[in-house]
Amino acid sequence: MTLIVEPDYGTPAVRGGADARVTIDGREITVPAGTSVLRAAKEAGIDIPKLCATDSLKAFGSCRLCLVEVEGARGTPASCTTPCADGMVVSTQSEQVVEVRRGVMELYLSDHPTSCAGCARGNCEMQDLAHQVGVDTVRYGLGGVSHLAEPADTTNPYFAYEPSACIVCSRCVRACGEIQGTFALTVQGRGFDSRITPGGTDFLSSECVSCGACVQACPTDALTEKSVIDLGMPSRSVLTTCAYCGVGCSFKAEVRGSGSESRVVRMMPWKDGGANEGHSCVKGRFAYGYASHRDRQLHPMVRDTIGEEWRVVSWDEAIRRVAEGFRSLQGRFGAGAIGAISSSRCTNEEVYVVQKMVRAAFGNNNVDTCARVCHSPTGFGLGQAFGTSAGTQDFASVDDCDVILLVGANPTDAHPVFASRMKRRLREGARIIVADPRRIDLVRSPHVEAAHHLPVRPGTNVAFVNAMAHVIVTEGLHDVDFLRERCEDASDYLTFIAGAEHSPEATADVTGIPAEELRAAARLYATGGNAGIYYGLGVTEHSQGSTMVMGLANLAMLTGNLGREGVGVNPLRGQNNVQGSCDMGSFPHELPGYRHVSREDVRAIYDDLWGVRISPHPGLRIPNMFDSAVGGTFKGLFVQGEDIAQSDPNTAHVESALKSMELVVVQDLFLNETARFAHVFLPGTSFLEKDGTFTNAERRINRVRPVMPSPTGKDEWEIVCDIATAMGYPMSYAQPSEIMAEIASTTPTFAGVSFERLDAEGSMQWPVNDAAPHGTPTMHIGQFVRGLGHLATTHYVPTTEVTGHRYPLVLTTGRILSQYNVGAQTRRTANSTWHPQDILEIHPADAEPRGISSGDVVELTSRVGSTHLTAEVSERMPPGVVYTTFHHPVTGANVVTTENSDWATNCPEYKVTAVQVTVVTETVRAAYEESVATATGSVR
Amino acid sequence: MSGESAVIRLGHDLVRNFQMLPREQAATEIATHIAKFWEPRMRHELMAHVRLGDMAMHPLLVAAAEHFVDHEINRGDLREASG
Amino acid sequence: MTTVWVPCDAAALSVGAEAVATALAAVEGVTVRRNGSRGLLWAEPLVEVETEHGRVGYPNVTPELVEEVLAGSAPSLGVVEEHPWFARQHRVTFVRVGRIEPTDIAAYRELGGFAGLSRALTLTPQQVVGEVTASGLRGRGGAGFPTGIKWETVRTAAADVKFVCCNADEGDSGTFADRMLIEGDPFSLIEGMAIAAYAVGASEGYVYLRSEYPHAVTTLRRAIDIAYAHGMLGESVAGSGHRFDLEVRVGAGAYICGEETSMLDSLEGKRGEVRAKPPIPALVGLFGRPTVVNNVLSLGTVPMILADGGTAYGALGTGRSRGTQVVQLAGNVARGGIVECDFGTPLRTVVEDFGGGTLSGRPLKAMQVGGPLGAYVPASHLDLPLDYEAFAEAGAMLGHGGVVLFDDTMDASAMARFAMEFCAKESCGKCTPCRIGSTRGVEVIDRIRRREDLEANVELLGSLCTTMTKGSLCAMGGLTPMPVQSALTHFPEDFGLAAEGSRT
Repeated sequence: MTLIVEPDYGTPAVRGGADARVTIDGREITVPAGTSVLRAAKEAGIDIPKLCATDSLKAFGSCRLCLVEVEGARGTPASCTTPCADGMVVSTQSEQVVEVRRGVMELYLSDHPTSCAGCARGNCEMQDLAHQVGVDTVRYGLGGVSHLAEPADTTNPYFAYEPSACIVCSRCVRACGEIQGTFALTVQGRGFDSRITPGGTDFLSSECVSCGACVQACPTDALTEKSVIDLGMPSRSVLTTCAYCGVGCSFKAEVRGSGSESRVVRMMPWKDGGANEGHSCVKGRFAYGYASHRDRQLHPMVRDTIGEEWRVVSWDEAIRRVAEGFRSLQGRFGAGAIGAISSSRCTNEEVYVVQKMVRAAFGNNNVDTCARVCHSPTGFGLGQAFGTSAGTQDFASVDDCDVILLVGANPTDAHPVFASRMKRRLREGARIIVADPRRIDLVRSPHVEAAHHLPVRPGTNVAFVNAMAHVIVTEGLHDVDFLRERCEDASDYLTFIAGAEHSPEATADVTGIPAEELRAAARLYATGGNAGIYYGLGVTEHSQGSTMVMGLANLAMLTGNLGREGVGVNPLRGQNNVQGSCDMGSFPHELPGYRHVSREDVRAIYDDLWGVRISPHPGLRIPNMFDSAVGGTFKGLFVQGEDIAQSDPNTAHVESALKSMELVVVQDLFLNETARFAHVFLPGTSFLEKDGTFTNAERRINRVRPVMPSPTGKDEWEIVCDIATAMGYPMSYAQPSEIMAEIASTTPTFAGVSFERLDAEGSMQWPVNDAAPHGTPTMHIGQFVRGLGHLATTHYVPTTEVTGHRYPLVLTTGRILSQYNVGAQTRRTANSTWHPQDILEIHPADAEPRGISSGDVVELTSRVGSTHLTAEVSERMPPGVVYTTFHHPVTGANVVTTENSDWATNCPEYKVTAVQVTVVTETVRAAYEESVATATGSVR
Repeated sequence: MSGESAVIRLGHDLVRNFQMLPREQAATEIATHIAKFWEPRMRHELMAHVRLGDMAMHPLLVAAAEHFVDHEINRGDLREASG
Repeated sequence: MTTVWVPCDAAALSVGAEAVATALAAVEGVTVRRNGSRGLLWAEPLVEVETEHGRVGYPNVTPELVEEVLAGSAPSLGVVEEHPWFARQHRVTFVRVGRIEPTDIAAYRELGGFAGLSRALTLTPQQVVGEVTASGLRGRGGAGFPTGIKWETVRTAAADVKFVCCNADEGDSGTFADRMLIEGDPFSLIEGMAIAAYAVGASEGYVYLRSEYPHAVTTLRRAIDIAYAHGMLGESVAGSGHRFDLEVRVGAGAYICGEETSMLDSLEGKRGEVRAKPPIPALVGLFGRPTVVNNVLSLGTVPMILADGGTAYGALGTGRSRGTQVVQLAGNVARGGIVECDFGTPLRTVVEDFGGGTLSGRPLKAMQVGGPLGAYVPASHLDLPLDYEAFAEAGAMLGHGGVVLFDDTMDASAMARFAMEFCAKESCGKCTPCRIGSTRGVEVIDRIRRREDLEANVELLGSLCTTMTKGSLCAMGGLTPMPVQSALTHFPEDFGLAAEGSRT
């Protein structure tokens, strides 16, 4: 494979039918009217020289290289800013044009290094362009005023700004604004002194979020990945999918070398990627170094007790230990004494084989996935309402939104690439309602201002959503036709919700949302045009998470905001393959495709194919496993790529469960916190080594392709097959594509999926079947998957986690841009430059009486535990609510979170913990700071 | 952490979410939910509490558990996409 | 009881008018009134004393001369309006300037003010645009684009909101007509904008006024307040039911913000940077909405056009240049100031009859017409008529009507260098020919001035000028070669080349 160079058409495509026939250099081409002459020429196979134009940005017209002559028009207009009109005749190579172009190129070169490092390494377009335009000498000489001696800015850990190579084309500035929407870059000064600057400071101290869009947009070496400077230009590309959040960005992994010598030079977002369309964030673009971090484990290891040192063993021995251990436990404690947890970070194929191993080899349904602790209420709630456990739209749908209702999600930190798309739509005029206790960036940031910020008190979501529905129903704003035609009889619900106890006035004291503000927001949602709901874990991770999901579905059904572009109910999935791991039957009560284990017809499919009898009873959920372990009936656990000891709530309880088990098998890249309690460690593969598929939040099945072979000698799906085989249930596949073939043959929603089809289509959104051979971007058009929509009666039930004298504050948790979940990956990259430790945000009104100032180390205590972290006094949180992230094991925020969970799915109530915050003594502070320093030092 | 057993805690979570319904309907809903999502040994543990006459158990949870023993669960309910 | 008029115009203030006013006010029985400047800048402070024959003017008054002025014994110009310098002009746009107190709305009305707006409101918007089109009015900012066509484009564009923006970022060297109109007769601009707003369906207007004009800012803001108070702005302009809100926005000192698209960027709160056209501001202007962008003089002339009818205004002038041109005489000139006369008037009339030649008394060498991007017109071309097309044919431009005189001590190569230097400093920095070309231009001209590799560098300068003219994004880079090349063409000897006409 060679390096993929995507064609650059210079300006974005214009929507519309081909209706302008133009003649360019004698070639005729028909394009949608309004298409730039530059793009039309490229489509006709004519390369007009350009520097400031690139097809991801609006035409700008500054470089003046793409000049052309248009018959009947004056002068030499820039082809990038000249729209095609029917009958236009264009010349791109007239004598006049060629002369001006040369003159412009000569000016560029008069302020460009003669020995440009970028040109030398092939990362700068200037030399090629000079050749194309026909400039070999610079008549101005090189003694003139220039910017060649300006110092470089190397403060950003991932890229360098070399001003001597900068041609001030503003592609970076525009990418930062138009694509990323951060507006960190600008041009400073006038005339010859015009220079690119990240707001007058250095890159690291600036507003820059390191999304990499500017670096990608730069046509010269001025903005370059440091890895390119260090390693040189890549020689081949592998199209693959990011392994961080649920956006599922497509990347070109650009690589040097082959086989085990392969080295990733950079990750370049793929323009044709369905989810990201060429954009990226700091994690996917730059934070891949963990895959080659020295902490990475490459050998199987065992030990008899968790107090012992690890011993490296052969794969055979490790697998034998696991198989024999599990069988022995089953012999002594029963078939249900063991189970497995699959990972939402792994591929569909890897997850599928884990549940198959559990159901076929373990002979029980004790398989769960980490989606249990994030989006299980989404699956439950949307399944109840619409009949399928997934979001209703594709990401592109937001382009058609007029109103966005964002609930309990912080996309600019947690789903940055989608957030950029959302912000673009907001800049175009869509309005956003933010329901979140925290003043997140989308409440107010450059060129974004929420129409309404509803600071809903943690734990009162259902009261809030009911009040929204109450306003819509009692003010007659609901879509009666939609309810009649598309939903089950909603009269019970309508009567329920019209009750005065749901009015904004009645619930304001509970939710903390002023009644008038809520009424205005409800009216906007119901009457503002296409309205799309986007939500995150601030909805699901509550004792009423499932109820809240159904409440949001009710809002959409009430207002008819379903079944077309620009509307819908959209969970923003936390991990790359949360959707996929759920689709693959990772839940203890259902088989692939969300089919309950009690269904004989479905079991029969697998019974026949696998040659076993699948248990018709639900298995244990993750928290049930812990409870049963503590209770002595659950003895062995296989954990695939999830750090339950750090990520699951009430760490003390999790640890005591792990200690109660006789065989804990951890399959991971690193010796994570959970591995401290493991008896067998099986080294896993990073996404750079995986071959398979991930399914993102929009149900998009993306291919993950290996950049290099597994350095451990085994792929993860092979390990699982080997364990099952060693347990006496032979499982083998020649290739991961065979696993997908089995999935497709047994799961109706995946019927049309194969690696071959995915390779041909790029990606597909399930359901993919005979009715939708290319997939289904928008669901529930015409009718719901379950037929008629179901409006559940959503009673508000307050959480039992209440504040009081001992624990007067509410703690809620979230993510930050540069770190990812428990930080296993991002902490092992330079991303920690921005966020080296977890920070507790606390309102001045809460900080002052406690004597807390920004920078103080504080103790955070709940009824289950206590931990330390650094405080930041901030008005982003309302009084009474404190906030932190959970990225760093030094703090381990889940030490304080409780066993409370969603009533329906047992998704933990991470978002509500009653806590107290106190300043610590100088000794404790010193100890904390030392442990942060040690942790930082050890992973960098 | 309270000394309450996990199945009782989870059962009471269900009680809180269904207790506003008419008693019989609430009991059915809770029983259905348990049938759909609880591993059998948790169900058995809950039944053991009923048999022992655990005074900490909410009457509705007891009713649901008895309901579960007494009545056949409607298999049709299980065919719904279950999440 | 004596009433005297002392201009409050910045040009008069800069030569001591305030002290004169104070001294006059201290005299018992004297009422001091403040007017705009009559445009006889060579006579400022020009104090006028009301008499039964009219207002008698006393030039260059100092506080020491106050007594003599009041006694009638100071040197006098006689009745100002009868003075040839004034009487030979044809004041249309400037008809009220100097005659009234700038923010006296009653006086404004008395002298014909609001007649245009009143008539406009009896017409349909389409008819109003028709009047402007019939008048032949062309943009006075410099480009000379027909105002009526621009308005028609905005009028027929569909949008939720439209804007009228007045470009009062008068940055050209040697120009001051916008300032004097705003300081002397601000209601004419307000009325013109209200008419434009009615004609195109705009509800909001902005005057982008340069920060270097603090008096104009104060006067215009005051006038806007008064206009609101009299119902000429706001919810229902002159009782018509049409809403029009008007606001002054002050620039921050960038020449390029006088370019209309940069001005729009600046109005939006961004760094002033030229936008590529298309789309034109008439369709995608301020905040992406259809926008009329007109110069102060264009808008200030609109009330007359509507009051008297487009054909009356269109009857003045020559060829495709209709109406009057407000010439601003400056530089090395004996009598500088505002000369408003019909298009077609020869440049010689303006420069010699009004201007009186150079101040130094030395022979006139050249005039730079149309600001820093305008051509150097040699004294031999004095017979050029004030006419857009005639100037264009002569490789020059009328621009905003600034005429700056130079005597024979001028070094044309230094002026050419200055043109490039000005561009290097004031370019918005967006397009390459302007941003880098101007700096290289300075360097090349320096080499020429040092006579280094003369022929090659002159050729290179020519090539650079072609690149800038044809390659630049806007008029700034596109016109910078005009002063350079005109200097080189007409005064080659200043560049070390053989004199004009003797070259092969």
